[in-house]
Amino acid sequence: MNNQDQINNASDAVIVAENVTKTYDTGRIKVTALNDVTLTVDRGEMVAVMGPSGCGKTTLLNCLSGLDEISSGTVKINNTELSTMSDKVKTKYRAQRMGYIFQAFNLLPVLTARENVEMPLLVSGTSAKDAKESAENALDLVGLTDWMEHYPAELSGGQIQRVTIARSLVNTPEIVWADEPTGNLDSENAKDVMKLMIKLNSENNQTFVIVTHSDEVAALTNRTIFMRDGVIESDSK
Amino acid sequence: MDTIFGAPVTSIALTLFIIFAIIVIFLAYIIARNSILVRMAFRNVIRRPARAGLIISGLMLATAIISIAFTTGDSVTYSIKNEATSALRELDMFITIDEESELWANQPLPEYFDEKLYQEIKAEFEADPDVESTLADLSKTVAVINATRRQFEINATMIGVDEQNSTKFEALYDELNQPLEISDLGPNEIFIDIEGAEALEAEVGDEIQIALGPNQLTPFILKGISEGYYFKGRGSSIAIMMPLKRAQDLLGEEGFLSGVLITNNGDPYEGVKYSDGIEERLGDSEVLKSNGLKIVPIKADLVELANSIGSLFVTFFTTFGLFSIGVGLLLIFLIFSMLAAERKSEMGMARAVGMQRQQLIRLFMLEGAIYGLGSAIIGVLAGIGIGLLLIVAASNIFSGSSDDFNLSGNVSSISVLTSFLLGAVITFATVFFASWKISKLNIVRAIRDIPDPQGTGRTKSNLIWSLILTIGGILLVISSFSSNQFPAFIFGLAIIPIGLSLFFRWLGLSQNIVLTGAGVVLVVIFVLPASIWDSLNENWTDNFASFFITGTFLVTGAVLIFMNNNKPVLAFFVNTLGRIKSIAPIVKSAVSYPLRYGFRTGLSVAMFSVVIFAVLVNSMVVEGFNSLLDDRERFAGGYDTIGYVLSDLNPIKNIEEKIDSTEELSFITDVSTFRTVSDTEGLVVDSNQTDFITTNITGVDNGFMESNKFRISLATEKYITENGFDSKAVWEDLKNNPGLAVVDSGMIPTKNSFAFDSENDNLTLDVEELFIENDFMNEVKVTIRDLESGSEYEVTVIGVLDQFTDNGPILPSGIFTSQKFLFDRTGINSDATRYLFRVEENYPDPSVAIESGLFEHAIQTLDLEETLIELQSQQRSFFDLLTGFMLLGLVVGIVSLGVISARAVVERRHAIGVMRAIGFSKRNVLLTFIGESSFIGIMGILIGIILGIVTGINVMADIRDSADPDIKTIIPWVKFALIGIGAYLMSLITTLIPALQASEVAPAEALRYE
Repeated sequence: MNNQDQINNASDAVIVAENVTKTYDTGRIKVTALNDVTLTVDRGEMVAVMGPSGCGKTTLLNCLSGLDEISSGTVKINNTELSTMSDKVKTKYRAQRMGYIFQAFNLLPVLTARENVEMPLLVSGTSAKDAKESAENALDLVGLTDWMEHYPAELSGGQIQRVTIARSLVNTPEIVWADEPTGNLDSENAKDVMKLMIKLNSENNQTFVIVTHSDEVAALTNRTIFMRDGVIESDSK
Repeated sequence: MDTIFGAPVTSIALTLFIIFAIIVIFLAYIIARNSILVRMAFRNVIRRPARAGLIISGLMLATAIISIAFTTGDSVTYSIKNEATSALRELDMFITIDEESELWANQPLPEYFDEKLYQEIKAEFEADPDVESTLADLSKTVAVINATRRQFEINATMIGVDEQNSTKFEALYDELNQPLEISDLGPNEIFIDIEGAEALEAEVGDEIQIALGPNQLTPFILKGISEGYYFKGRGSSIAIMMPLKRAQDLLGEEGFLSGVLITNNGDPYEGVKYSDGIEERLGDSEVLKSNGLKIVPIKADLVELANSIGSLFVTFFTTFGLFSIGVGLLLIFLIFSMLAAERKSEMGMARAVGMQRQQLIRLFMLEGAIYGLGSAIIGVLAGIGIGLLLIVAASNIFSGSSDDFNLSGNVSSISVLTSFLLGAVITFATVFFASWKISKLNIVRAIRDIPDPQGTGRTKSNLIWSLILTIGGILLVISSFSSNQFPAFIFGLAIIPIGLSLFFRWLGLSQNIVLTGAGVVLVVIFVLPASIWDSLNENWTDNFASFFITGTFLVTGAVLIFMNNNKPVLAFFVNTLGRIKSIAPIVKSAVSYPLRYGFRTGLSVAMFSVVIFAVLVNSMVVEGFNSLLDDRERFAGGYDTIGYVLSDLNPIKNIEEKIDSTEELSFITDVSTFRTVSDTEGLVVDSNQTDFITTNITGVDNGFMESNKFRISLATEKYITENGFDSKAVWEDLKNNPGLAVVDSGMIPTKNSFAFDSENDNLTLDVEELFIENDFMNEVKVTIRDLESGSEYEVTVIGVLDQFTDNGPILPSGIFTSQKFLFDRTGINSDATRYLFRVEENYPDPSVAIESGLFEHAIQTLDLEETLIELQSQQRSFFDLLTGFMLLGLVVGIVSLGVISARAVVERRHAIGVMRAIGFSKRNVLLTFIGESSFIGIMGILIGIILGIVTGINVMADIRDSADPDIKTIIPWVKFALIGIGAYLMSLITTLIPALQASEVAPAEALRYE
């Protein structure tokens, strides 16, 4: 069974967070970035997380995706609690079943567009030949067939972000985590990127969690969570 | 040491001090004017203490190498001075017969002078304020037996001294500290010094016999064993002391002296400083000049020798350390470039808020000065430590060969100061240059940390540099043909392609293409065999500089090719190692990152390559020369044992008869005789030489000329054969044609000065176009003046002895001709000075048996088989030590990898977060970072090995063509593998910590880092 079959056959609640608290201890002061957050995201949902700077949006995304450890509470992905997973298992899980899109600096500068997209497949053990083929298909999907041998420095901001999307989707992940995916883009490019994500979301039933400052981006999703001071202030579908 | 590279140490230190003072004043000015810069510089240094430590350890290396060279030089100087002073004790100078005095021009050179002169000499010398005392003496080398204990020694100095003055010269005491007076000795009593007594196992009351002539053993009673002595001859371990009159009686030289000993004021260490003044005041005094006498400032001469040998060591170690010093400076540049890269945004920000470019330069200068000062101090201390360790190791290596010489560590304050100043000044200079270079930044790009665009290359500086390098290179090449300087030629040749590449770049050609082109041309130039360059000019003269130039540019070329063709390199790795599924992503990242950061990777690869290159070429040359010693016949000429005649008291009149009549010598199957006359001067006919110069001439017997296997490495055209020269024919002609001669290779000028020869005061055949490297030579006529007989005669030199042989202990230096001819011309049938023996195969310890059988003739022997083995082992150990010293340069490469890895962790924190996010495990990140430094290290090592082997093969072929057809090309694979693997493992140690840090980076935290 491949990832797509798993997505189609799995139960509805893909992300379940209960009473999640995240505190940063700098040694001199303690900062509570997330305070008792409880949240459920269903499969195929496209969720926007909004809020002012420093409200805990990125921390929420990092904690839900397993990139960061939580101080208390539980996070379950597909009914598996993240805290029970070893770092090794979590890493493998990320490589095989999650995709990430970040605001900037999100491609490895020394690899070409194709090589960047191949990376998640190679680390999860796909053969070089298959990885190459899948990467080319993914880049084709985002309209970058002619740019696949270019390095990030030779691409525009929109192109970079499309490469990132191709990379996040190349292993057909169940969940795509996006942190300000349009933050560095002009409005035209931002629109194109969002259209692409919506298309993939609807075609593949993949779950998207998007942290954004942009009302336009949030308007294109089917659910918006608004945060302030580490707590969810509103959650509207 | 007084001089280094020919310049006085004090002048060097003073010059460096002035430069250092200017730097310090300039820095003080910056500090006074910009207190904020000082604060920033200090905080930058202490911001990351571990990194600061790594930087200082990298920066200190150039200083450490210099300090090592000084420490070894100082230690050697000190050891020789110390040995000389403790051996000569109170003796500073002596007066003896002047062989060059015109008084002896037409008469035999006397061995002694009239005792009556002593009072006159004493009056004149003791009136000098710096002379403490004088002592008339008559001394002779004798063989001696302790009849009571049945022990004998063949090299003892018998010395008779004027008992009235002996105590004033040096007070002797026995082991109970009771004074011993020469005047107390009875007619058959002697004193022996404590070391001599130990050698003879003698005790007071023993019967000591002195061998004074054929079957003439004179018995004495040992009356006292003294703590000191007046004088001991060269290599002598025993001083036998008696009254002057008794010695004169024994030797049959009543009323004669062999010398007057002089001790200066002050203790044995201080007195030597007065010698120059005394010699200046009294050297030309009437009593000396009119009687054909001279002053020999023996202690001052030995101190001077110690200084020149010490300087030679500094030159030797500095020269062999040149590559390490060079890469040390590269590392300083790399470190500062990386510091600048790390702070690019900060610097951009500082410039944006109003900091001037000059202030930025000053900020880096201050920071660099802190590092530079720290590293110079630590470098000097580290250098002293390593230098002393080298001395201990060298002392162990040579401990077996000389009983008398002890190598001990010593460092002089002037050397410490000079190496500190030298290290600090070159570090500051590199830091200042790097600061100037990195301050040129674009503010916006710096703030946004965007890489600088490659540009079209059409810049004014590219054009100017291209013209300077190309035209400069062409001019150097042209001028080298008239100066015959090969290093200038290849340096000129090397900078032309670099200049041209800048020109093509200015024309707009791609950087990759022009730099690859320059790299290819450089590699081709430096891997071409030397014979190609020799065909352009047969008269090239060469020295170590060409090796340094070859290494530098060959590695530069290879690295330029490597770094400017990263796609094929990457493709190679991806298509080989990258095919292994589990490491495919690691390989891709580990190779891509270094190739992307070409400048720092290229520098690090070059650091590894150049050091490995130098070590390998050196090792191949050493192995090649060492293997020559396997050819026992060539080294020893087919002989087994050599016997040196130490005393002329009891010469062997007919060695064959002596052997036949001595049963215990019946194992000797053949013997040849050398008669070397040292009181000889030579003048090369038809040369620029105007005065006669000291030389030796050795008369060899017919047996030697008929049967020796020593080779001739250069001869006149008629002796040329397919395989070099017909040595047998040369020796045969020498035998049959009186007046023909061969000379040792040291008398022939050389085009190459790789051997670090010290100055030669003896005769050389300085004839136009005559070099040891020639294909053949023309006959050279030399007028010989025999000082003993006063006669003059001419010899015709037709050949030169094998360079390999005459560096050994067997053959004396100078000119060789037939004994019969020598006798005919001088009328003196001089005694044998050296015997060469062949013995029955597998006879045990022949040299001991010969020494014993010829005891009364004072023959000291040397087993040539044993000597060879010892020589080979010493050579190997010494060059292993040198290899170890050269490998210190690898520390630079290793530190550079550490610095790069540490920088990479900081620089790529966000990328590490991305990698972790997309599925790289901690292990993968760790392996990626280790892979990166492994890639750089292994590439550097491989390039070094390949270039080293290719160059080594070329060098050996060149040596085979020009110097020695028998030398073999030996590639010590095991040694190379050990060096390569060792260097790689060491590099892993410095990169492991940054790699571990990278793997432990928390992904979410890293993703926040921008």
